[in-house]
Amino acid sequence: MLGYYPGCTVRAQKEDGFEQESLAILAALGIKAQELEEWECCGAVYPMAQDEYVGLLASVRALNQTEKEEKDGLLTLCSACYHVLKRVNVRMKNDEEAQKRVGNYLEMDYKGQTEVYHLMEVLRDMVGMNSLKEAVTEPLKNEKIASYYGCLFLRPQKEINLVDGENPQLMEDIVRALGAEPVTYPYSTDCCGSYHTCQEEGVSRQMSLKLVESARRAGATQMITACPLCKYNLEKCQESMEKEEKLPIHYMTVPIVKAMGGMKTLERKGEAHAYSAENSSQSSA
Amino acid sequence: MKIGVFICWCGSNIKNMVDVERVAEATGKMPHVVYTQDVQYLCSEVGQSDIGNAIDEHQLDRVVIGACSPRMHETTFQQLMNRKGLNPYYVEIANIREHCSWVHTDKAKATVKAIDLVKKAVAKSYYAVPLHAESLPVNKRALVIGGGIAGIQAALDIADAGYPVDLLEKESSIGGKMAQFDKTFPTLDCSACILTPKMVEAATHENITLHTYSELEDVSGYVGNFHVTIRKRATSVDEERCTGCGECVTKCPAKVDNEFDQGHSKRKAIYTLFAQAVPNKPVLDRKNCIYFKTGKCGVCKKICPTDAINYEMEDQLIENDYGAIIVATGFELNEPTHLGEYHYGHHPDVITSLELERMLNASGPTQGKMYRPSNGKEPKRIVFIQCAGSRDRHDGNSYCSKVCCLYTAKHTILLNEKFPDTESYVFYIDVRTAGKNYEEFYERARQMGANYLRGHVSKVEPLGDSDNRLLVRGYDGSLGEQTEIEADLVVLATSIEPQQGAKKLAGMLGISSDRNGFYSEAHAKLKPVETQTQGVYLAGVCQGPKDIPEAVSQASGTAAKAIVLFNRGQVKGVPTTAMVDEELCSGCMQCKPVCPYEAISQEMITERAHGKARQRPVASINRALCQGCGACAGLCRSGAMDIGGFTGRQLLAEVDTL
Repeated sequence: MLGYYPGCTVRAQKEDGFEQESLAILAALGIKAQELEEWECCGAVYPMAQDEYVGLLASVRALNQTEKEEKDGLLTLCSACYHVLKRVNVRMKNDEEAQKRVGNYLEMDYKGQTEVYHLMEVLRDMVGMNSLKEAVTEPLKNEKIASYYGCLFLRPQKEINLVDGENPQLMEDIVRALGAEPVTYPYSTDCCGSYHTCQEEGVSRQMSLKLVESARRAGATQMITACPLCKYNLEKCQESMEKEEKLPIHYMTVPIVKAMGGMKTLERKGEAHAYSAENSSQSSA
Repeated sequence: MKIGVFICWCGSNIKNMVDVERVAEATGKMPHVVYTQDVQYLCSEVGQSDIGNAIDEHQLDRVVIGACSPRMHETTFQQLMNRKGLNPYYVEIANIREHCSWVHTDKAKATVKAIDLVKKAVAKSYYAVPLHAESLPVNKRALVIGGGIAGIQAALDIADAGYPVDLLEKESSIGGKMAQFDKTFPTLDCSACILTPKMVEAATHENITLHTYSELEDVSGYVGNFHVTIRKRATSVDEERCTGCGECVTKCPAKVDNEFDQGHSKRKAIYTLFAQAVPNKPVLDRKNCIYFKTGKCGVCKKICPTDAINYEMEDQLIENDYGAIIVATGFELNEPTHLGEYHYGHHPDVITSLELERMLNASGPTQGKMYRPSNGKEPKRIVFIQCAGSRDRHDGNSYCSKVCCLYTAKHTILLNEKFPDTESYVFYIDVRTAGKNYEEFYERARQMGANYLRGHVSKVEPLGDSDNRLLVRGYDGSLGEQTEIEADLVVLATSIEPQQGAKKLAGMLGISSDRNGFYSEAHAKLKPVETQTQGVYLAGVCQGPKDIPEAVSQASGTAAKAIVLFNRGQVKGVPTTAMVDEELCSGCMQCKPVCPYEAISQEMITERAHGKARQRPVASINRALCQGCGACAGLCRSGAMDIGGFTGRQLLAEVDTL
């Protein structure tokens, strides 16, 4: 059983379905995840200053909570939460000074034992591309999907170490498993403009537009991402376009749900998994 | 005892930071010092004659010099002592330049320190004893390790001087990297045309014995008397019987990637390295041979008209004695897969310069035609990226690979000549063209139309178009803006690196490597071909990146060193070695395991005690092997071990004066 960390943005934007879909996909594939009993904001930005420890506290609480609840790791969906939790964890694993200071303040002994997982990592390492492929009932034959990771999953490579930061292929592998065609397009590892959208919107608009247009030129029918901010920027930059000109931007769960037969099917499968798991645990007891 | 103290100004090098007159005056007051003088340049003829005259006039028997490092001029002054009939180990040098004037900024303090340094040297000289070097015979046969252009040149020069040479090469043919090149800069000479005659000359020279497909197994001994074991790997082809007809190669059914063509063609499991290979006889690559993998096949054996194929052949160990060893093991090229931003290994049209070199080569995999590995079409726009892995402290080697600027200029010229409608773009940090006619060559490349863009490439990525082209994104420093080029082919100037086995070989030979893994010369300026181990010399890129003419001249330099050694016929050993006081030695032999040169052994001596003769073990030093490191002297618990010129008594005297 994984611990699940929703994060503020994903929870606040609940109605867009990212959380619901992700959990349904995992349940249907037999992966159990349970929301932590207690959690707070991860801090949103990883503290870059060497002597800044306060920024680590919130994430360490969640990581420690995961251990306390005896979960097999901490699952998160938002790229920013994943980025911050993972980097804080790496820091706590390797930095004795941080262990000491954070430990003293929180009165806990945490040394980076918890593993942090993202949805796509779980699909790769716990489910496996073959099982995902087998679970596909309606292959997305006509879709050409451009994957956009955004910076937070890619950099810094040494700490995040989720995919090859210069040539990531994990989302592409997932797209392939869904029966769709992954689109190769330039700028795919560039930044979307991130928080510039709040102050210098022109900057992020230009950067995001470059990405969207590049994907469109390469023939994409949709673009997928796992980052709420990237999704926002990629949509925002197309605001003034006519509806038919716009390239649809989806969370990566959208095509997965579709290929696996829709939410209803997923929920049914999830319940079946839960039922059989309950029975087997009863019989073994 | 009469000591003369001489303080050198070294022009302004010492004098500007050290009050030399005060140093002379202060040391002049020490016991036994009968004469002091400060001189503008002690190492000059004038300075030396000043010392000589003082020796004569004041009957000096010891000389103390305050000057530069003894590594610079110790020999100079020792020779002077010899000429004056004094033991050369009666001269003592205090280093008041590198250890004092060059590293300090406060003249008053530096002067005090210089006085101390010279005083120490005077105290040390009180306890100096005359030392005598032993002469050792020299085995007049050389071993050259590595059969590239440097190794070939060294072997030819020594052989021409009349001495036998063994040339060792790990591949099945000599020729090295130069054999893979198309043309050479700046003259555009055909590489093979100037190399193959030398290869043939080496193979046919009466004084040269080739050991190809062979590696160094073990080395022991010392200058003049190296004992070497060579492992000659089993070629599975009887060299005597094989006529080199090539029938086996034609019929062999196993195909593998051809390393010589950088994987752009296939070779057979039984193969010759390239068409002009020397010796031109095939070897069987057992890893890829169907017979060795499955036990079936045996086509080559069946077809061979002279019955030369021998599957049972075993590695052969050859032992030989040599007087000198020349290391010319060359380099490897970095595989740029760690530079993910260039997409090498992910996109077939991102290639290395050596791959391009093979393509351009008329005897290469494409007979000189350019093609894009992805679709076989001729590339129209080629982007060259310089310093791919060089001058990169973060993801590569911090040093400059030296030859890439020029060979890239060469590539653009060759492309322009052969395929006038190709466009070449070169991204560079600096273009370094130090070398005769190199700047002119680079200028020619630019005038012929190569587009040079000063700046780094941040990313090479697939364009995603139907032709599968690449987008090169970089910075154009001349315009001060980001630039993007759509390219058919991207060529990486990969970094030159030491051979993977370089460290192991260094260990066998007792030579050292620098921080980058290249072998260290004995002195950066004045002993560029020698190593710290006497009798072992360095030629070519194994010592650091260099181009062909440099490698060739360095090789001839090593040959000259070996020839000098052989002509002299004997070597003077160094007398500053360990010495055992047999009376004090308890024979515990704790010194034996700490000796890095295996110079210590046990010996039985007979001594008389209480009227009886009895035998007792003591340590014994092989003075030819001992390098005087002092590990044994530091460790000896009975104080029986001392180093000539650095005895415990001398070192204590130095400390006592402070």
